[in-house]
Amino acid sequence: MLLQVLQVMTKYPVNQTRRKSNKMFFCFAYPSDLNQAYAFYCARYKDIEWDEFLKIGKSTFMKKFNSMPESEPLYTIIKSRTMNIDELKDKDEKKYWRKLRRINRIPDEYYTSKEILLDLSKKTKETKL
Amino acid sequence: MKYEFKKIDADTTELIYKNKNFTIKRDVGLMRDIQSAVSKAKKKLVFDLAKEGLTKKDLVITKTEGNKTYEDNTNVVALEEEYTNEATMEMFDELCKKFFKLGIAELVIDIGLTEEESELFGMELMSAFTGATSDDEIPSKSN
Repeated sequence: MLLQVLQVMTKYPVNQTRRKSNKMFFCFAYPSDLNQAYAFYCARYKDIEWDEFLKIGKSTFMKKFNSMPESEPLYTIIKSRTMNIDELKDKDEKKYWRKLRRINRIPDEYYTSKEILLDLSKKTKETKL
Repeated sequence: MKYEFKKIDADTTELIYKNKNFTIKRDVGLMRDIQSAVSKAKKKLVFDLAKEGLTKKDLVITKTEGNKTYEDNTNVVALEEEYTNEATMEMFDELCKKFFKLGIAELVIDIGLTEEESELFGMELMSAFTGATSDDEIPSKSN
């Protein structure tokens, strides 16, 4: 039982945003995006040491994180991961955001192979074997 | 009740048992560690396979039917799940040592929990570390 509980824990994304469809979306990978978040925090709030930054409470961090201005590079990164590109009308704009999404995608190492394969099977609609 | 999890604020929970008091703070560093479990497991799997002279591709069963080639990744998924569980257990144990100066098994003994009680305790402890509640949806890339 404990093992099952722990399996759930690994699948639980620490940060997520809720889309209109109420689907949870994994949009922030702590280890890889944290450097950007640290730079943003130091520039906007307080210039602190890295170790001090890691000791900031999760909810405090999220509150500050959510007020990130559009000019921040991390804002664009997360936007490219979460926005619904199909809603855009301009072809060039679509192309631009698709490119950004490809560049900024969360590395596969943060997903289990099972999740990756499920995602892949949905995209290709191949389920045989 | 042999123990109590007391919520202090949005980021802090206290574990109280036998007049002992431990504070669990969900900070950025803790969240980073938790989210790294899958990544660590996947890396370990690749390194272990490499030691055997294998790659993940060697675990994939390929079947050709006419012009189509099918890949069966069952072995990869199963093995990776084992590694993920192991990495998560290790991480969970390390977190217990960090916060309580005891591993998870020692902590359960110290509180004096039975096997059945330890299951519920494990779930509550996990919630204290992640901040997730039973009402939360358990999202993944697949949903």
